[in-house]
Amino acid sequence: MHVIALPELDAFRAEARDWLARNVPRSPRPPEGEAMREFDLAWQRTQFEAGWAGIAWPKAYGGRGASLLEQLIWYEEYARAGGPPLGSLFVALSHAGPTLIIKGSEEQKAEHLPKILRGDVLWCQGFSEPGAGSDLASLRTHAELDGDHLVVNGSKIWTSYGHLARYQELLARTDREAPARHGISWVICDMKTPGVSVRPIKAMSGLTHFCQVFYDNVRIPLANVVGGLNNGWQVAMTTLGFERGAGTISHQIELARALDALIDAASRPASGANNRRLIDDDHVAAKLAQLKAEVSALRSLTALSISRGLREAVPGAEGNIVALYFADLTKRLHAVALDLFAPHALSRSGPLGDWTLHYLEAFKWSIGGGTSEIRRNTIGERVLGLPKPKVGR
Amino acid sequence: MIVDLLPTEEQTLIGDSVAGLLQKLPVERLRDQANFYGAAEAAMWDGFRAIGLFSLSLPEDAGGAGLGFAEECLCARLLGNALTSPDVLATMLAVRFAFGTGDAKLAAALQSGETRACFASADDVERAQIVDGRQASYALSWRRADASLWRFEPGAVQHCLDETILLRNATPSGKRANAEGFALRARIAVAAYLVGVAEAVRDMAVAYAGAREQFGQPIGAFQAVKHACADMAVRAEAAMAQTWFAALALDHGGGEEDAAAAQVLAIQAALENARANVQVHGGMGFTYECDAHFYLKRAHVFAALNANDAVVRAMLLNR
Ligand SMILES: Cc1cc2nc3c(=O)[nH]c(=O)nc-3n(C[C@H](O)[C@H](O)[C@H](O)COP(=O)(O)OP(=O)(O)OC[C@H]3O[C@@H](n4cnc5c(N)ncnc54)[C@H](O)[C@@H]3O)c2cc1C
Repeated sequence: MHVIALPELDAFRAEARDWLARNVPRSPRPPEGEAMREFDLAWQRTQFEAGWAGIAWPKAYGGRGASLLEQLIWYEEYARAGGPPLGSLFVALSHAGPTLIIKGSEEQKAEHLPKILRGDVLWCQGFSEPGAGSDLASLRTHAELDGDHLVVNGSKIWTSYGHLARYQELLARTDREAPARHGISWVICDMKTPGVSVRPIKAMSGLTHFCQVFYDNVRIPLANVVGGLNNGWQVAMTTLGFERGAGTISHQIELARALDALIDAASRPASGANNRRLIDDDHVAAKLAQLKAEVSALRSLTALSISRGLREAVPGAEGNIVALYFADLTKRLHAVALDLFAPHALSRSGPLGDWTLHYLEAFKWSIGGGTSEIRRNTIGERVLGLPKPKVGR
Repeated sequence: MIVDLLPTEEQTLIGDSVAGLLQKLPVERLRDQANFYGAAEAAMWDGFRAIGLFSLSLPEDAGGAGLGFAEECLCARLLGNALTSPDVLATMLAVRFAFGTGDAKLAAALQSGETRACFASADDVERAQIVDGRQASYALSWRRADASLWRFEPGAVQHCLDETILLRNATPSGKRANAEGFALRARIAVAAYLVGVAEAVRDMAVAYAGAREQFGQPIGAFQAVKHACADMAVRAEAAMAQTWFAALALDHGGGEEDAAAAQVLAIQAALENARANVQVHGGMGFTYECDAHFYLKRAHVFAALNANDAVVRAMLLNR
């Protein structure tokens, strides 16, 4: 428990700040679709060309080979400069890339990591199925061995950016006889392979970010299996760990900015009505102060995750604590915002429209990547060591 | 500010030596009235002094160990684990207060155990009550960011929600010293004690949930209980991370915001966890025999120290 003050970190920060101030895109980011993808890829390319892509990735694959701390500093400066959200590159940069670095073969790394860093492609994650959500191990999409290929049949759902991605991390059952977790493989699926079809799904916010994917006799080379046949469960658990790891730094900083904006808005004299400011109401101030305390704690919990990351290479089950905290806080913060601005918040075209959108989008945080209930189970069993129930889940 | 929030090897060793001493203060000691009002702590005061608890953060040439506030907070958490009399933490803070205000004589007297300090419940001397402090002659209280250390004469005894605590009226007698900014240190140290309470009850609930069986299995296998325990873990970890962050920030020009956030979250974690722990213990939790109530009551005592919601809100909102 100490402050880490190193001159080289300060130098790194200054360099990052300077570059970001000059290069962060000023044009608005399109909210969805191919225009959004092209925007995200172009920005990734800009970062790559200047040597800022894959801060903590090995140099051999085009990364910067920097430490976790530099990654943290990068995200801090990135947020300060108003950089766009990680967006559609999230799976490629925060799941697929790190998983390939740990579990991929040399050929797989050489082929895919540079493409990700250069901003050539998006990835998506094909884990959940219509019949297998929280109980992911019950997945049924099947991959049959045929010579040096796998032949895939089945369907995935809630695949974020599946309609925009070129590659997919696909979990498929390669052994139906084995116990559920021992018969799954983690496969790189090229979304352009014949037999793959995609149906976009509109979310409650009106945005279309995820889809259902169907596989009809899709032939995938065996060489695309990552981490060995029937080892996919283990590989997938690595990916989930990363999702809760460093990737959350940027989300945490975005949330802190959202709260600052909310406090600013509540501190301005309300139009018309006797110049009263919302924040002068003790009730409102109490709510905002509580959120401020929790947003500070989220920053500190993230620092704690990084402290753990400095000691262990693969994130442990404790990552569920910060993820759960983040999900709950994000939802409450946006609910408070809507509450404060009612009834103006009803208009999605007015200046408060963004709050409405973010309020509706916030519901995803306690569902995607594992629901809050499942995270509580995991904290109970794997962090606290409580017993599993006798009856099956 | 970039921080490492996990203890260093040296910090772990310091913690081990304090924890070793605190083994003499198991919480079940409080079942015996003879140990109320910090009696057991008073009897082993010299032990606290001997391991350097009162001078951890003083420079070596002032007889201290030259460590930081971070180490003091790690110790405060252990004091909270054991529901140690508030006097121990108050005296740790008072030494630092006296040293910082240039009163070397008082600092030395507090360090040696010759003089002891305690907390006052409020900074307004008309309203202030003295918390424990049976052998103390100085009381520490605070306002927004500033604190005072003042001599007092004890008055009438009040009945305290936490019957293990001696609560008395007091009249100031003589000197009252003020220290700018010192309240932040006090707030964070109190938060660290409360983190210790929040963690202790989390562990107590988890242990019981793993052992007690109903419907043919440990109650901790049921989600209603498991999720209650998980929520306790989340609250404790958030309070801990924020308190450690605030402690480190304090020595690096940290602001009111982080100290106030630590205080708010530690109070909530200790109170809510203590309540949840009663529930996890069922009928047993409602009894006087189960130690759950000691933690709950002590959490209330620390939550009430110089409490002022409007001030904390203003600190958090930078107003
Ligand atoms: C915005 C978004 C993006 C997503 N992106 C992807 C993606 O890119 N790739 C991908 O593979 N998946 C993705 N998902 C899917 C996500 O991982 C699943 O939705 C999630 O795992 C829950 O599964 P489910 O929807 O089938 O709900 P269910 O598992 O059916 O759960 C329904 C309810 O029951 C509760 N429940 C279920 N089991 C238990 C239990 N044992 N104990 C207590 N409560 C329980 C759940 O908590 C939930 O409240 C995304 C989801 C969202 C919302």
